[in-house]
Amino acid sequence: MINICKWCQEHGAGKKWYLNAKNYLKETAEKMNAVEYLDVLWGNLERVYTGKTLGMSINKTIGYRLKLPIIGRVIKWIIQRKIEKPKNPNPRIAEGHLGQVIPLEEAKMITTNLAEEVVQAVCPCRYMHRGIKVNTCLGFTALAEVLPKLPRFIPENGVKVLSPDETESFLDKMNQEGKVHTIWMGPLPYIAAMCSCEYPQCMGLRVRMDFDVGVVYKGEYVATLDPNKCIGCGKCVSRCQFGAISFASSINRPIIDVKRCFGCGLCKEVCEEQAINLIDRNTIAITRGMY
Amino acid sequence: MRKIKIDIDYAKCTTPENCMKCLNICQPEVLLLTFEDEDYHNPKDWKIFPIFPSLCTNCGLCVELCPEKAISVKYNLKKLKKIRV
Repeated sequence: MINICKWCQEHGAGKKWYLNAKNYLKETAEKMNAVEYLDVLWGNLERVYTGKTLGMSINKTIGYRLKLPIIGRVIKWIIQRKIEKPKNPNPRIAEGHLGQVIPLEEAKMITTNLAEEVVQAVCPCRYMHRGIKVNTCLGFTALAEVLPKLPRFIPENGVKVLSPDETESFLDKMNQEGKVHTIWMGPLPYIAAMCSCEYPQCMGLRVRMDFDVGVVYKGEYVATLDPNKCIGCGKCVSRCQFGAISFASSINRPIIDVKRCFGCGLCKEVCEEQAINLIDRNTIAITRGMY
Repeated sequence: MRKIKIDIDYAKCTTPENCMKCLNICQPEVLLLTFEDEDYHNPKDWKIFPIFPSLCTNCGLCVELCPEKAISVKYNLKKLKKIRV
């Protein structure tokens, strides 16, 4: 269903597409009209599910339809094609606004080396789901231009450019709180934002987990456990938001379900014995190409 | 098609952006705060919509907690048994 390596060849120069500096440049933003796109997208983000968007309107209640045996699969396929449409994306339906999970090291690498301006913003997902205003989103160059127009997403201190040290400590803090780092595209190749998501509150993760529509893609990695180093403290179990880790008390160590793993690396950061490692998704036969 | 029906009386629920009690209490996050006016830079008509009624567990917390008694949840058990989950 999901084919991400298509992007690796098109936008990544053969390697991981989100580590290509071209996807963060101002020129690509101008080429894709990112400022106009992000203005409409961020302004209408609360309305994405109430219109006829993603096929989800209030009267149709798509949750039931996606669970139907054959029709559900057809609807999913249509939605997936609509979101991934590369030419002339419609920002009101959030076409071309896709995300991917990344581990902490790569998040730090992106903010320090690749992104030009980093700006804090209020998380729109948490505001519409819970009514809380938290500054958990980082916007890059094009989003920094758009933000001053939208007063409800400006943090209390105003829009200001963060220094590399500030972003690094910010990302560390988000990781300690157990939030998953994700990158989000403006129109498809241009990377506009980096968010710190949580499963029920994030729009993308909730659609992915509850309805299996690929708005957020899994990361490039998979967590594996070294049973000789593990002491069975069980700290990693509560960190996983995707239900991939379960604790087996009879063998006194956790079991990682590779198929469910998103490769966020939250379990790895909390492990004091360094028993959990992230390995490339494509080296394991089961998870190859499972994004 | 619809097995769980959540109705919100918009005549009673007028200023949801100041209250937001149902948003905070809902565990599966069925309810969502959105707006309907065209000026998306500075919207004013905020409303609460039941976006994912299929995820509702009918715990009844939002019905109890609402100060205006604007939310009502209808639950059809006979039809629900037919769905394969």
